Amino acid sequence: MSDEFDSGLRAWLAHRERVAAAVTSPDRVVARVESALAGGAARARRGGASVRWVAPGAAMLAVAALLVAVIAGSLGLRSSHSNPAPARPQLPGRPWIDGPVPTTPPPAGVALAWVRDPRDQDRAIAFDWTGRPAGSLRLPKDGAGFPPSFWTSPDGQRLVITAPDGTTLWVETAQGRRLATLPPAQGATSHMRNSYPTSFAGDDDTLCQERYDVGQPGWVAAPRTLVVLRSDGSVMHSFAEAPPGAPASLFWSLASCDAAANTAVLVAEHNDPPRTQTFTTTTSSSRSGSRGATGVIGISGSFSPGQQWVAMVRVVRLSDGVETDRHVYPEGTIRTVRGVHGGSWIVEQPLHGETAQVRDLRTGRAVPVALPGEAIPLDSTRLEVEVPGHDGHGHFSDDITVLDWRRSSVVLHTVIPAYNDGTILAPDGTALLVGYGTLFMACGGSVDDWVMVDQNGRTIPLTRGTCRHS
Amino acid sequence: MLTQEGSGAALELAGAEEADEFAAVARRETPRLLAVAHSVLDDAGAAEDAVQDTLLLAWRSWASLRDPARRQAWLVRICVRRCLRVRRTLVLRARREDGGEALLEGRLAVPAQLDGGPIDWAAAYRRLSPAQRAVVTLHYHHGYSLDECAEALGRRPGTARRHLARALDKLREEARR
Repeated sequence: MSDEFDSGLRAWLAHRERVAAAVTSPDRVVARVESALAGGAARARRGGASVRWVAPGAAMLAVAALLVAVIAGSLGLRSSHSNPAPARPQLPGRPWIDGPVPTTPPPAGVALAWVRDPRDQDRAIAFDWTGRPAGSLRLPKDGAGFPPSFWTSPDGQRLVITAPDGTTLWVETAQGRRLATLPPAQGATSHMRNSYPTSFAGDDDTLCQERYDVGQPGWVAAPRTLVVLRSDGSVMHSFAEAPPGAPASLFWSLASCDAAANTAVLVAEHNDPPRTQTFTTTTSSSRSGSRGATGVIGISGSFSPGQQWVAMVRVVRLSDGVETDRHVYPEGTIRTVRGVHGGSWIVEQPLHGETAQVRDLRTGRAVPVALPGEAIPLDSTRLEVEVPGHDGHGHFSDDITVLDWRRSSVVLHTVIPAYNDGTILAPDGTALLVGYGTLFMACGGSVDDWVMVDQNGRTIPLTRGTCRHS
Repeated sequence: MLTQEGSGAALELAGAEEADEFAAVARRETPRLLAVAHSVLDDAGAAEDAVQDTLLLAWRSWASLRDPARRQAWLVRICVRRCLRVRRTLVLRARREDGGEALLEGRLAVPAQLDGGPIDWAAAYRRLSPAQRAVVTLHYHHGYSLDECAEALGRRPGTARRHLARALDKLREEARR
């Protein structure tokens, strides 16, 4: 065996061990052993026998009960006997793929996370925040062959779905009842499949939609109008995103939108020469201005032939578009600005270096934060940082950390052995759904899956995907 | 049969010590067992199930294993055998499902090679049988001798050697492509 082969094999095996460490949880296994042994002890107790007067088998069960206490004590694990009301999500011991897939709509009043079914691109699956599937919805077939897209409200009880024409949007309840049909994108043609960027405005009833002419050349940077809608489709407010007299060299877009705070954050990027569309939009992921991304896989994007940087941020009132705050940045210093619901803070990532600033828009005060990767605001105090990795041998990974920037603490951390397709944070911030895709040369496509990560870094698989060619 | 109160108390004492010892060993060895199980099964859920079963089986016979130095090898042996059994069950179950076996094989390739390097280890590794994967992992990654691999698999040393030789043949074949 050559040295190259030998070292390659050892490196591959070492990599596989890292994969195993990332996707399995020793703590969970020990906890399940604990649970199994506790069940035996409980059965012994139900039989009313005393360990001192029964057969060795039953005595062993009592020993098992001692083991439970020892393991729970030494590992600091929560025991259902000592803590019947845990504050954190209780993850199921097994992935749901072992059980039946529910085909009925999920119940109302339950916080849900929606993902695309990795085995059926035309179906969305809802999980509750214990990681169990709560139901599913059939998505409308797309005549052009693209997978339908969807966005969800923060509580997961309402969805915005692309209609089969790829440009009209439907607003539906989680139970599949249509609430509204939103107008198709201006200038859209059947082959373009462009719908207006739309997100829920922090609550579960208000939507913010950016409308612009998608039919004109350079449409990505076309002037946009921010429209505030109710989920029944009625327009509440509407105003231009760019301020009067703004130079054409600035490209304005929505960073965050919050109905309760009556606030939108608008970002202006330097756009000279103008950016252009380069490939078709098939995504519904909406990172800025929404709670993480929804579970939709696709690609989209624009290309700017020149250097990009953020020139300005405006904070405006949703009700009338009046500017309440403005920040102007020196040329070529800030790469991205992303905002959080409520418009209370933004994260400013530099064009060069890792020291970002989290700016409290109410006080104007900025806090420097070391962010080695792309930052995505999640809620009032948390932001997600992603650091993609590649070992030089074709193996991708994604290091995902959720930070509480006000407390300078790590809330969640995980490494997925593939590229990240999107994340959804639990409403209480204690669990994260992570979607990831893995390219498989064997099938000539990719496999997409979802896992749930809790605050202890424990990861459980939620789905089992099949090879997808797209 | 425990019929004396005093004997019962002694057993409880001995049980507490054993439980303490078992908890410590379980905590220490579970990551390694998961790595071995995942290398054979390549499915996180199935690997965790197999290690859980391993620990429960081990606890059942814990008192009979007097030599602490052999506990690790003993646990690995239970784990590997358990994995081979689980793997057989998964294959049978997958065959009953729509496209199940192909799906199962797909799971064995996390993550796959993307950049066209000299050897597609994911594809090569996927060609190995579960027993071959176990031998390769234990021998090349965990430093087991072939005799120890044979013991872990519950096979003769000659069988373990053949598994390793065939595994390396398949891997080399992939390397020459």
